[in-house]
Amino acid sequence: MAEPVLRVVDFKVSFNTVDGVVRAVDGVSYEVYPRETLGVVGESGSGKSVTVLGVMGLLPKPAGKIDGGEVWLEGENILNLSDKAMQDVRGNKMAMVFQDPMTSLNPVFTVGDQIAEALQIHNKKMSNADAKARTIELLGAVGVAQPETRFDQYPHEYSGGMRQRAMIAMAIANDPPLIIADEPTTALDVTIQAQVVEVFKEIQNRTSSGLVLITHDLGLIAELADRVVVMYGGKVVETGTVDQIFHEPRHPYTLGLIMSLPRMDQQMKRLRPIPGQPPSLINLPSGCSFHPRCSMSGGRAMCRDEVPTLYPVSDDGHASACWYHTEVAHELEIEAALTGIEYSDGKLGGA
Amino acid sequence: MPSSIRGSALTSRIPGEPDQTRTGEPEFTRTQDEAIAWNSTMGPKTAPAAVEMPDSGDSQRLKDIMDREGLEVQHLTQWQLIRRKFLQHKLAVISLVVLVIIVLAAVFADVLAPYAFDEIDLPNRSRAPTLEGSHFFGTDKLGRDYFSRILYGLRTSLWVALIVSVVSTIIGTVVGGIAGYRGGRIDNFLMRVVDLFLVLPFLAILLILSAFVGQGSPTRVGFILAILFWTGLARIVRGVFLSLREKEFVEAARAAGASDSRIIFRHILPNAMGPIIVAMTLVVASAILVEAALSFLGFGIQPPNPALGKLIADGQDSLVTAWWLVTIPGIFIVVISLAVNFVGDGMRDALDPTQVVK
Repeated sequence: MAEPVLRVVDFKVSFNTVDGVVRAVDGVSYEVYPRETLGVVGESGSGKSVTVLGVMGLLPKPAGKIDGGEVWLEGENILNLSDKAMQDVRGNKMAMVFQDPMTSLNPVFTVGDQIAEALQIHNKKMSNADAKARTIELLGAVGVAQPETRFDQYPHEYSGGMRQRAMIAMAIANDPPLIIADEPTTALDVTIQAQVVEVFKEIQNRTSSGLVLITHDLGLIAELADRVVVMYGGKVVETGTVDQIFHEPRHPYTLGLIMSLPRMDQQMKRLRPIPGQPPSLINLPSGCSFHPRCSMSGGRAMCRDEVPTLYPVSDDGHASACWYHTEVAHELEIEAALTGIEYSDGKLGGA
Repeated sequence: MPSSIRGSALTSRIPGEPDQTRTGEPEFTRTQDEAIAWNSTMGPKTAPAAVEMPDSGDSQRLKDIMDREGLEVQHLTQWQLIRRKFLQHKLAVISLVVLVIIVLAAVFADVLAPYAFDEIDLPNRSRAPTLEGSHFFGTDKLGRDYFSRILYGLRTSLWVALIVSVVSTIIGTVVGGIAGYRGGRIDNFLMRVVDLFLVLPFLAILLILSAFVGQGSPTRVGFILAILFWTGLARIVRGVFLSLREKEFVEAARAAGASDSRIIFRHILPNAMGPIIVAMTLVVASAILVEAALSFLGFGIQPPNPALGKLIADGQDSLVTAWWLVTIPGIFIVVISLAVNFVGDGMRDALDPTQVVK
């Protein structure tokens, strides 16, 4: 496979708060390849957004601090770059789409101006006319109808879906090799979500960008992602292809996520929510941070005392951070029987 | 791709629409057509009919549809909206007209004044307002035409007010902006400086400064007053910057690679203009009052130059015998202060985007 666009190695971020040090990200590693969509899932507070904010160099200062690790963007370790150099990287080599399109556009400028600005920040010599032409092209590319008219409109004249399209247009303006989308559909209603998903698919078809898609919506992951990283308590607990994650999960947390999700394609008898609350990041449980909520741990000393690392469970990159990942296969069968999800050949789900 | 999960939270397909097949062509025809269908609010059912069109000319076609369906939307720019909202505020509009008239009168004092402001005419001392000899506002104890003196006094007072508001706005915006944007220690330090200025005995400092530095020049007096007026603006601007820098569009700008100065001047400052302009108009009103007080105490503008406060001070000892000497400049001070305040009020409402145009 080609060189990864983004390689995050053993990344650590902590926040100093009045209550103590919060280890929001604790040794996260993942890669994104060109043309690939990496889905990052996890509950709120699992560190998925903080990881990418750290990658972008946008952690809130002075509370947020990078404690260690490496971030390689196209073969360059960008953690060592100066603030000035990072400004050139942001928006040019990697761009971000934020969660809430309602507040991510400046209300006092036209949408066209703002996209053109994103272009001209990184292309100082670009003339206003060229920037406008390119902006109109971009607006058309993300499916904004009548881009010439829309260019001169203000954000309040756009609907939510249109604004998110505009945000995507802004992100792809400079053809960045890496696009990061932080819960891009969370603030949108379902039909608009579907449209935005289509836009992302088309963007991926057209450019060779790698996409990091952060969400807690498993449906979105299933739609868009090629590979998935599941995060819990600031750590990666499982990683694999989208099929592996959904059909053959090897971590009890991933399994719990799937079992707690209502599905249209399955005759489900019941949902099986994960008991308990996400852990406090100030005071993480000892050993495997998921063990107090885990249905499989059963108070075993290994779970309580030893921190598991990612173990490969197959030779094509599927890995799980569970001491007893070999037992998850059996657990699948039990859970499938309880919830009514189809199960055959050690795999979940219909398709 | 496991289609099993599809539909859990997402409907990727709209009922009634043909199943899309990915053709891999670079254009986004389908998405565009979709957008057209939704935009014309015709519903997806009728969309196929509406989108059977040649690839080019989509926009024209959509415009036709919108015209036919009466979906034309009237565009208003930000400034058009602000103007419309301002015009709804009757008192502010009237005040603005009054202010413009007063300012024009002051600017064209040379043309309008029937006499020179220091032309002494002893036979016509202390005359009440009359049309005779164009002494509209009467004459003072030395027979100087009071209408002319008021016009020049207006010019002085308004000039001082302009300097105070501009200078204090610039200082206040820079200090408040840095404090609010940077936060932390810099914020703390700058705000303590502001506190320091606020606890100074205002009048005593003013009197000393005007006596030694002011030398009766309106411009100098304006700068002296500005030193004391910028603190309020700094606090307001700091507050606005503090809240704006946490807004997502600022973070989005940063994610797009914008520098600090670009974020401050292009993204935050335009959004802070509302409160800043309003605070500035309020400074104008109080600057006129304080300048009047200063001149009244004899430390502001020096004779023979007239200023509104100075005119009152000169007229106070003949309040009973020549009422117009105090009353007329007094009325002007009140009218100007009120008018500026009302205009500020109207501006605040007009510049607040959460206020809806009725």
